[in-house]
Amino acid sequence: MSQVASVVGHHLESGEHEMSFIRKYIFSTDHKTIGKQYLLTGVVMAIFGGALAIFFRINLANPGFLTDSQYNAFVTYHGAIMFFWVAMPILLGGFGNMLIPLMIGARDMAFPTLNMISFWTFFLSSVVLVISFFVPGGAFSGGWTVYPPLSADPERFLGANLGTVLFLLALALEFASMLMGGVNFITTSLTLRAKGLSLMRLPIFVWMQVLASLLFMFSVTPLIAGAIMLLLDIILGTHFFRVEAGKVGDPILWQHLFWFFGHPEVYVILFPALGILFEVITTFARRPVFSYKLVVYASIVAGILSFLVWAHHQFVAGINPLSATGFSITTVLISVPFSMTLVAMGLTYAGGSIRFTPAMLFATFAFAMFIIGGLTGLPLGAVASDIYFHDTYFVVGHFHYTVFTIAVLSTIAGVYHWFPKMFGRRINDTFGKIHAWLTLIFYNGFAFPAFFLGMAGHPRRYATALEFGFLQKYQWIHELMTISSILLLATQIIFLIVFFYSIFAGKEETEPNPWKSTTLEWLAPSPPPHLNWGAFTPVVERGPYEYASNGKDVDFIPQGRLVKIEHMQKA
Amino acid sequence: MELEKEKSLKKEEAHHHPPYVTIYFILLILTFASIIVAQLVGRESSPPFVFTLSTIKALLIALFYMHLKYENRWIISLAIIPLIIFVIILFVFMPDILNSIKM
Amino acid sequence: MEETKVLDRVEYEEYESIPVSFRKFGFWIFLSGEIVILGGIVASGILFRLSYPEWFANSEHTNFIISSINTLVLLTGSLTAVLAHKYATFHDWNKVQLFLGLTALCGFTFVGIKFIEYSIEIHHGFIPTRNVFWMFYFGITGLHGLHVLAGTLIIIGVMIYLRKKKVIEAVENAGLYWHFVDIVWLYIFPLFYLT
Repeated sequence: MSQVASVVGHHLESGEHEMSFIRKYIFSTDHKTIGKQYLLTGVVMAIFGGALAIFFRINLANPGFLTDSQYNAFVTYHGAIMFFWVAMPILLGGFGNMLIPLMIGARDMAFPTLNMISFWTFFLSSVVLVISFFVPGGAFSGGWTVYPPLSADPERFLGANLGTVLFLLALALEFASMLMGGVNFITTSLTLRAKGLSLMRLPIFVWMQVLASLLFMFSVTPLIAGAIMLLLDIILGTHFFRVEAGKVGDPILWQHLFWFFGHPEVYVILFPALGILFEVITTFARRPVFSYKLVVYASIVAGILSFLVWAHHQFVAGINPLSATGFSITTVLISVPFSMTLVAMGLTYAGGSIRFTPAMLFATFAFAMFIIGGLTGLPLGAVASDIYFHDTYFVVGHFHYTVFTIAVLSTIAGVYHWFPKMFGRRINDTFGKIHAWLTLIFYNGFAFPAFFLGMAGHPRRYATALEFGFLQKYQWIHELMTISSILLLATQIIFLIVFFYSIFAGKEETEPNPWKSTTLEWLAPSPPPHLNWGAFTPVVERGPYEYASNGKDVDFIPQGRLVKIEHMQKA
Repeated sequence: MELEKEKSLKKEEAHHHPPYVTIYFILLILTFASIIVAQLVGRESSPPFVFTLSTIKALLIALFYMHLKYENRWIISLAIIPLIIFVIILFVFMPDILNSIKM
Repeated sequence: MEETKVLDRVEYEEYESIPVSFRKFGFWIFLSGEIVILGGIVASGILFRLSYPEWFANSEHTNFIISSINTLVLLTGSLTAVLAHKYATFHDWNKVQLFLGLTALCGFTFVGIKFIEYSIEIHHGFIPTRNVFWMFYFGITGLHGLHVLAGTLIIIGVMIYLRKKKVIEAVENAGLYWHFVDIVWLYIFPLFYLT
């Protein structure tokens, strides 16, 4: 018999105790508010990072728009911002925080105060990053990968010292905040599940968040050691990575430490996005995941393998060729579990009764685009072909087809999907469909030509193609890509306006489960109150995707139901 | 808060305590041993000895002071995985770092 | 009914959970991340040491007597920390505070001795930029020393927290952090002082 502490009785019977505006919205420990805070901050940083990209794309189409140093700084910050201040906070901090407790039937995260601290640490890191961009002496412009010796000797190479140190500080704060979040996600998912919710009944979304958090934790920590060494190099003048006559130092050590993190990092953002896609696709195809167990086990295997592939980023850096061969094998191997997951995703559509809401459109586009991204990874993972493609636009195409798909398309699918739950309103469906198609078209207009530039041998990170004879004839491709990217950003800006408008004035959605989905979060009111379930507790009786179950006439059976709490003791 | 205590207690009740003070004295002896061995054998050849002794001490602390001997597999995994990562880093970085430094 | 403070989170007696207390599990997650941070810089140090055996003749200039004392200080702290945990399981909260206090004392002693040791070394011209040995010496022992300080502050934090709420796991977690720091030192000590 579930007995509940006298606390609940006291708390619920006296009603929500009046919290000041500051405690309720600013320094809140409620996971949903924290999730929204992460989402909002991530969106603001996305506008900043996206604008930077537009500016340097304008420079590529119209050389001379930026100085070369500015170009380098803009490219550096665009990359760093998109990974660390947009994709991670939105996918993990935003969606993870908002949905994990609801999906497992908990009232909040295991460590709510730590959760609050993690957001404000993240906020601080964003502020420090933006400041670092504008300090006198210049922003850090050594690439988001922060390679020494360039980054270890900022005064000598970049003319900027303060910018570099602040950039690294912002990065450290961001890592700290995500690590704190990870502690919450993993602990909560494993220890605070509702009765009946065994691990193999968890929604795929939750599995993916846990895997992502574990991956992040074990991969970023050696890089933190590396960042400390880099800071010592910059501030004290040590020689961990700097190379000077008579002293030792190894820039390759940094590369290894960085990519040991860098590779699992991309799966840190991929897994939550796959989680979102599975939730959206199962709901709108009215089908369970094709082989739940396959997806879970394949993802675990992929997660473990992801720690063994990193040096494919270093094939031409002068690493030991035997080592490179090993990494090439593991890299090609890792495509296997991911392919299995994607095949399962595709087969989830099969036999389904598909309804193309905006969320489903975005999810389907994400699935398709990600396949392109994944396939183009293979010529990069094979050492021989990578020797040609490394540091060309082919890589730019590859990672945009993977990262943009994850960080933008899947995220927007998730936004459309859970918007009614989080805000009690709807975003206009017609707008959503137009948004989806325009995004798809403009995105491909920008990203697909990159592959051709790469095959022509166009290197990355060049401020302009016009100075090089063999590239001049491709200038029209740059113009096409720039125009597409401007239109792409414009579409997203319009979406943001509609998004914020809909929060306050969108069509109201009082039905808690408008999409007729099976997972637990749809049992809560829209939006869920503080402590989520009120005087009820969720109890789970079956798996997470009982749609059109065999032999039954029902369209779907929810995973669990709410049970009124008995034996509430009055304080 | 009452219920928190109950919940903590239930999980701690089954817990018995190994002889902490005895282990402490063993740790002290091993520490002196490693210092003495290092002086006797000299700095060049001391690594195998001192690191073996360190590992014994580390195991004593980990298994008994941190109670890893009595914990379930989830916690033990959290203790072991970082060590695996440490080993991966050490050995996979080695071909590049060792070679390139020797100038 | 006794007065209860309203929590922002409700405790159920039955969750579907792995068989671990969530506080301990959460702390172990944090701890396993920390192991890799220190492990990362130690691994880098080992790699450089293997590449430059002659540079490590510099270890003669470290003072193994001072650091042996520090080793004993840390080990003693480990004992007092785990004794604090033992008395916490017996609900003897006064002894808990005593032993936690002793552990914190060990922590401050370690940091203080380290401070003196660094001053002596710097005075003799052994600074981090001198050569690869001293770079890693100050880097690794410095980072470790910061962790000892952090562990001491955690102990003090728990001592304050325990005045309001008697939570056994808090004591255990504080002890776990201390033991982790101690184990790392068991390897750093020979690496820089005995080899």
